Amino acid sequence: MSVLQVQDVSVRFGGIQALAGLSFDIDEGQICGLIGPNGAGKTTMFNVVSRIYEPTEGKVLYRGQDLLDVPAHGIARLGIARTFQNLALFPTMTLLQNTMTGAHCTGNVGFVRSALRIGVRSEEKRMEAEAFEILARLGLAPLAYRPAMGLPFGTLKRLEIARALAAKPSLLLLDEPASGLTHSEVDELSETIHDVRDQFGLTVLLVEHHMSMVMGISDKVVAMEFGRKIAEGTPHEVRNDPHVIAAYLGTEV
Amino acid sequence: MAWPKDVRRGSAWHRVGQLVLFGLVALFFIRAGLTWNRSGIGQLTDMLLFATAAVGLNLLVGVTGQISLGHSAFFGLGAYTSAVLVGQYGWTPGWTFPVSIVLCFAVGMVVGLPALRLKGVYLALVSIALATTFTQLLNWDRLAWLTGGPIGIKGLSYLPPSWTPFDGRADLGKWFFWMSLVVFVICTLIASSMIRSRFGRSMVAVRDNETAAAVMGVNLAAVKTLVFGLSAAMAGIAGSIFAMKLTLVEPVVQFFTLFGSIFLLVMVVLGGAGSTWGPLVGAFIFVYVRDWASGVGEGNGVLGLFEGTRIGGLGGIVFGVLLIVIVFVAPFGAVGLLRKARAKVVRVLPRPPALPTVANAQEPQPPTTVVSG
Repeated sequence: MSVLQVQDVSVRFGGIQALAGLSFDIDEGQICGLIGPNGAGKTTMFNVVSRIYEPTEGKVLYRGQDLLDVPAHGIARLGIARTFQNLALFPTMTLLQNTMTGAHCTGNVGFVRSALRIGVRSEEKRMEAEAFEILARLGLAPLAYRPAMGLPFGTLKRLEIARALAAKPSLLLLDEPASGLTHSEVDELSETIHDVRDQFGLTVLLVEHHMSMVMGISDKVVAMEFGRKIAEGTPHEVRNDPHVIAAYLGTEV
Repeated sequence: MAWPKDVRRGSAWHRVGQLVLFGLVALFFIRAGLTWNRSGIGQLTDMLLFATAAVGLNLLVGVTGQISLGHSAFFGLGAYTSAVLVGQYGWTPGWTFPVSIVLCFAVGMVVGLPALRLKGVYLALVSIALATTFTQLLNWDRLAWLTGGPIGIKGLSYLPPSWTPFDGRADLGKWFFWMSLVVFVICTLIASSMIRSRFGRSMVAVRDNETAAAVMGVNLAAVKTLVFGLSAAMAGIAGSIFAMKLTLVEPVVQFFTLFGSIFLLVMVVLGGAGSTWGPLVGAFIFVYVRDWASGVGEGNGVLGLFEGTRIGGLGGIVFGVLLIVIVFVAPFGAVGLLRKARAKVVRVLPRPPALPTVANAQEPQPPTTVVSG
C-alpha cells in the first residue's frame, strides 16, 4: 500500500503557479528522490505535506487519511517528520533540547501536568535517553549540551535529521540534507539515511540537488519542472529520460 | 587545584551548592520577616508581589517570546476583583483570591488571541491598548457603581484570620509579607517546573521558531493562549493581595496604569528574561535601586555635589541612567551576570546521560558559552 499519495495538488501564490496538478505515490519502505531545477516546487510540495501551505486544489493522502483534514500540529503525531532546507532549529536550545523538542509528539505532559509536575520526571528521563541515543548515532553526542546557535552548518544539518528522527516517524521528509556538506560528509549522509531507513523501517522522501547522491540511494525518483512532474521511475530510467535531460541541460534549438 | 572547579550537575557537591544558595535566600526572607520594622517589611512585601507578577510575565515574554505591555491591566483586574467583592459585596477577603485567579486566567486567554496573529511590535501595540483601555474603564462614570469611578474603593481590610499565628492589626504587615512570600514561592515553583518539561520546551520552541515548533507537533494556539492565561493569573493574584495590603484601589495607582506594565517588563529584563531567578532579582533591583535613586537630589545630594539644593526629578534620571548601564553591562540580565561570575569559580558539568545501549557515546563536553535560561 502507498504510504503517501499526492493527487493533483496545485498551489498558487498570486500569479505564480508553484505546483500544477502534481501527482505521485510513495510505497512503504521506499526512498523516493524528488529532483528538479530550482523553483520546480519541491520545497512547496514539502510544505503542503507538513501543512504549512494550503493547496488550492488536490488531495494528499497519508496511509489513506486526507492530510488536509489534519491541523499543522497534528502531522507529527501521525508519524510524519521533516527537516528544513535552510535550517529551522531552535537556536537558544542545546542540541539535546532541540532533539527532545523533536520528540514532542511522543510525549503527553501538557500544561496542567507540567505546572503540577505530575509525570514530568519520568517523561524527561525517557526523552533525554532517547534523544541521546539519536545524537550519538549521528555523531553529535559530544556536542549535546552546546546551544545550536553558532555551530557549523554541517553539524546543524545533521541536527535537523536527529530532531526529525526523535519524533519516531514512519515517513521522513528530507529537504536538501546534503546542501553545504563536503564530499565525504555526503557519502556518510547517504549511509546514514540508508541505515536509519532499514533500522526504523522508514519511508523517505528526499529533495536533493546532489545528483550522484539521489541516484545512488533512491529506489524511485520523481523529476519536476515548473510545478509539474516530468518523469518518474527508477534512477536509471529518470536519468535517461529526454524530458529530464532537457530540463537540466536545455534543449537543442 | 586550578580554578574554575568542575562540579557535575546532580552530584553531592552540586546539591550542597544549591542548598546553600536556597538556604541563604530563605534565611534572608525569614530574618526579614521576623526582625524588620513595619515599613521595611511593607516594602519587601511590595517587592514580592511585583516579583510574582514578573514571574508570570517572564513566562510569557522571556520564555514564550510574546511581548505584553498589558500586564498592568491584569494586575489591576486582580486588585479590582478583590476590592469590588470585598468593598461592594461584603465578601470575606481571602475568598476573593481564587475568583481573581480564575477571572484573570480567562481574560488573559482571550487577550492572548491576538498573539495568534500578531508578532513583536504589533502585539506590543495591542497590549498597550489593553493597558490604557483598562484605566479608562476604571474612570468611566457608567461603571462607577462597580468600580467607584475615579474615587475608587477605599477602606478595605484583610485582618489575619484566627488560625494564623498573627495578632490582628498589630501584625498586619507580617501577615501580608508571609502571604506574599508563599504565593511568590508557589508561582516560582510552577514556572520552574514548567520550564523544565515538555510543555516548557514547546514554549521556548514557539519563541525560537514558530514554523518548526508546529512541525514538531506544538499546538501554537494552545501554548500561546494558555501561557497568556497563566501569566495573567499570576499578575492577578499579586494584584489582589496588593489591593488588600494597600487597603484601597483607585485608577491612579501607578501599577494599574501603563507605567505598571513597563515596570514589570523592566524587572523581567533587568533580572534576566527567561531565567527562573530573574523575576525575583529584577524586582529586587527595581524596588531598592529605585528607592535609593529617588533619594538622590532630594536631601544631601550626591557625594556632596548639589549640597543643600533640591533637584526635583533627578532621582528618576539617575534610575534611568542606571537601567541603561545595567542593560549594557548585562545583556542577559543580572542573573546572566551572576552566572558569568560563577563560571569563573565553579563550572557545572552536565549530568551524564542515562544510557543503557549506546556504546560509542563520547563524554559530552561542557558548554563553553553562557546562555540565559
